[in-house]
Amino acid sequence: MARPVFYDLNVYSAPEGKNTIEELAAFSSRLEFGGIAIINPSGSSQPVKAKKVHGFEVFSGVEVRVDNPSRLHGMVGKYRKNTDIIVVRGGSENINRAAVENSNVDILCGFGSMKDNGLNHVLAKSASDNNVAISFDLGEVIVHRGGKRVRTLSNFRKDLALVRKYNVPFILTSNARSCYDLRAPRELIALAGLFGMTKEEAVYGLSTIPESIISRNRPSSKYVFEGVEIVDGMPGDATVEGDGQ
Amino acid sequence: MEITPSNLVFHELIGLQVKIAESGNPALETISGKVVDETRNMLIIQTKEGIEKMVQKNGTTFVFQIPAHLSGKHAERYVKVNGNLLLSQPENRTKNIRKIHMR
Repeated sequence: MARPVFYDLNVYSAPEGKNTIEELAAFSSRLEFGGIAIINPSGSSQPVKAKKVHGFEVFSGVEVRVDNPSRLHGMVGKYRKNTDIIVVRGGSENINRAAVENSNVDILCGFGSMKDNGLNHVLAKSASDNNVAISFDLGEVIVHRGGKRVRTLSNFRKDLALVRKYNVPFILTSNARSCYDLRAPRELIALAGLFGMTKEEAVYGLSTIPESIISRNRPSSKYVFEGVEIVDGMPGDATVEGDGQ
Repeated sequence: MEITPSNLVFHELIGLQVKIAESGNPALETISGKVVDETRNMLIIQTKEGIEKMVQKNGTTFVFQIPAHLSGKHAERYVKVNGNLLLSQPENRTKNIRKIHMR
């Protein structure tokens, strides 16, 4: 099997984070990531343009932070055309709900709180139908201590059960605000093991799903729209000839 | 009218060569042939042996061949389509154009 390519889709650069894009790109290419997405919040600055830094892929993204679901739809529509990745920071039940019901949203992050895990069977089903990925923000496990860390892990455990049951797409992210917050793929996989995620699932969440999110938003010439693509020929053409004997 | 990959799913499918790429039922994955009829939920495919097979659209992925004289490109084109997009009576399918392109 080919080596999977890992992506970290929630990284903040200056002015929101501490480092410039070039520093972050250099550091994450040393950690053997295949690409990162810079998601500075929508209010603070213009979304970063997608580019390649010394051959390392940096995707453009934006984090939408709103407190009112109707504004969310407006913001998502505004950024959809010129960014690769739209992340919605949830928190309240209204926002979480609006985000998972909008198929233009790619990722929902920060949906849990100290009181509850932020997801329930209704939201999980809707996220799975609309292909909105749920982000397990492992940065929280690293940053918080004591009771908060315990709550975070137990929320993740509950979320994971829903993710498995409803087949919701999920990703693992570091939510790095500086290059020292970045973690290597295998470290993220190990951290995900703390709340019961298997290694296979973690690799799936770090490589397969981010890849599909990116390919969905950066259509290749073969992609027409959801569910339709151009192929080179009939699958297994040689056997078709054989059938005619 | 010209059939392009972007309008194929709204187009008349009868007469096109088709092969099943993926299906929930692995026994169907060997079927290929010409579309001879279509209902809301099924495609009726005539195989080389002349047998008509009824295949459900839901959950099946088809590869259609657009023949050279219809593709407008002087070459055959192959398009892979998720059968769920075809779930509608053929005469009503054009009504879905907006619904799908809005996404």
